[in-house]
Amino acid sequence: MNVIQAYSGNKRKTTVQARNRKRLGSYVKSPKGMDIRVLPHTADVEIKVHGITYKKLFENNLKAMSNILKEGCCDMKGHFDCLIKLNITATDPTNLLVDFLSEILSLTYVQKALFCNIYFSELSNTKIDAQLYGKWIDGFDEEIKGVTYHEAYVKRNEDGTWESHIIFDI
Amino acid sequence: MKKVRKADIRKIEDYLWEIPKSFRQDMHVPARILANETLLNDILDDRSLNQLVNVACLPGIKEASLVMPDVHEGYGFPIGGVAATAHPEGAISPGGIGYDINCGVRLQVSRLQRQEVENHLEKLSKELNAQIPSGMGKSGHVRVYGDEMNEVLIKGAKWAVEHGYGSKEDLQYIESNGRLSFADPTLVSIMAKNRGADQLGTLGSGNHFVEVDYVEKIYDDDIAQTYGLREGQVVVLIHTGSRGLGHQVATDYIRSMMRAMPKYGIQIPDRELTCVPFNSEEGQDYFKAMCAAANFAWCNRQIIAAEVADAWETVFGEDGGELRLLYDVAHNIAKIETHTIENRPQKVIVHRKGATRAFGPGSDEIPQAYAKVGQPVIIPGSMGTCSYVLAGAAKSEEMTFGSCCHGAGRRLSRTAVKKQVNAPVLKQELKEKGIFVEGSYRGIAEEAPMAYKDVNLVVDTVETSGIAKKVAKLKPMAVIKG
Repeated sequence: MNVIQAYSGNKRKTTVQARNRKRLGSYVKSPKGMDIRVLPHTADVEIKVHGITYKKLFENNLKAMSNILKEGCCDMKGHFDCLIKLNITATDPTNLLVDFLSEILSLTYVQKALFCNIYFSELSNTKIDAQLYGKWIDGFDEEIKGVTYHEAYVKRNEDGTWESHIIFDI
Repeated sequence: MKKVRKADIRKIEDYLWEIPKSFRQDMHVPARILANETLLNDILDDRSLNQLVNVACLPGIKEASLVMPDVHEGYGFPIGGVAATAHPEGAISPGGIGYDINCGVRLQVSRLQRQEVENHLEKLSKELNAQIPSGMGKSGHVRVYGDEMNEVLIKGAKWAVEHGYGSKEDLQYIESNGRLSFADPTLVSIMAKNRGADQLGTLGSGNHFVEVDYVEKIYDDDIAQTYGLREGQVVVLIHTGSRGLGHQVATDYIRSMMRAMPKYGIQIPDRELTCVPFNSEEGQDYFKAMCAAANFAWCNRQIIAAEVADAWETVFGEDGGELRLLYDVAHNIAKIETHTIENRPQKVIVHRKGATRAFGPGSDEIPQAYAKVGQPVIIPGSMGTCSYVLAGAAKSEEMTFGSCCHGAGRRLSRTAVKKQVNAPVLKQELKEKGIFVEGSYRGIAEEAPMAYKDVNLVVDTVETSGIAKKVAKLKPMAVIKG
């Protein structure tokens, strides 16, 4: 597995990550405002994502997944090619995040589009109503077969920020 | 949860180790590892044995949870894991099959010798690359929608044969004749069907490939003769699965089982091991959808074989002859089989995730032509090393529910190997060794030989254990990376 850590919206953390970058070495180009660190594991890809809010956590997870599918895709600017409504319910925040990413992964393949932007009209512990904006693309860098529940979690840290952990089957 | 250490494992034989049921309170059966000591030490480096212990906690599991010597860490089940649960009330777990339902390998044999092919390798590899859509997001030449898709999901490889891809004779050389009869396409979601609509005849990415090999060594003359293999002969190995359709079936049913599980009072140590009783409505729905996805995969490999045959004919013309199917076998699947457990035959649901069926001589499930020697077991290595053809032995049915390893087993992450490998240099080095590689530099680096365990050690362990016999060693000449 590859461990990817994603942070955003916090300059101090970005600086710390930049320092760690030298020490840990392995990085991939990341969406703007996020640092993504890749650490060696045996198979698959593992992401640890932080967000200053619960909503930001979901947005960052979306960007982190799209960035695995196509490196740097969330840095691209311009018009959107498709708009899709999302309605997802789950039993808890962890299942909600896994189901959210799974649904978007399926849409990515069917629409042949990458999604980096989302507007949440409702986001709770068990429900998402949102509009998803995507750009059509010709191909992907990596194939994600599935978003797994293996060791998945969503938690709120003592400093009030949010953290999640997801493993993708590659 | 406590990590498995070597001290927790007891040696049963030189190649068989056991984590006793007493290791953790929630284990229903012991966990067994088929490996020699060198491989066992490697296996202890990751968390695959903890995952094996988790599998031993599945409701209705029989005898032991097992891993093959090529095991490595996955999610839920380890890759290389085997588990048999009681039929019909035991658990069925999509995590015990994986997202790539019926990922498998297929071996086609030619009548040409190495010397007749080696001067055409560059042209052949480019022609194969042109004929077979590979890589992420690449569409195939075959599109199936609506009723046509339902037919594919019901008929599997037979649908491809009916539409001119390969011959009727091929079907008898495919595991389960390329079709699982329990398949129900109405239980496959629209999303899954949409994802698969343009993916028949495509390789996909990751570790999927088409490889041209030659037979470097024959270990067992009689079995090789029965399989139609001889030294120097050129063969083609195909490795792929059910593509996005299978991935979506797994995703859909893992989600629905997660919701259904509390109703059956099932508690599991890892969410990815989500399961329900096989005879529950949810269990039956998943099983029938999984069978449909498995049929899609067999249809896919049958069409890819026809694309390979087209490329072969373009390069060699009539002199190239036909590419005969030796065998096509799944390594990510669940099947209802009968095995001797507690000294009596019992029907069980065998989950194989990164494990190949390896039935011995006399089994009704293998082609008549191979009945006396056992089922062909095809073990791909890495693109710079070698692959093997083995023959399943009766002992596999005693020890591993008729299962064997499925490859070399990954030892380095994609990231780690990319840091250590310069893909253009690797491609050139392989070319100098007589191996032509087609594919993206990213894909070539990720699948570099150093990313894998020593396939020779894995296969030697399997042979020493008696679950399969070495028949032939294959050396790569050209590789088309997914």
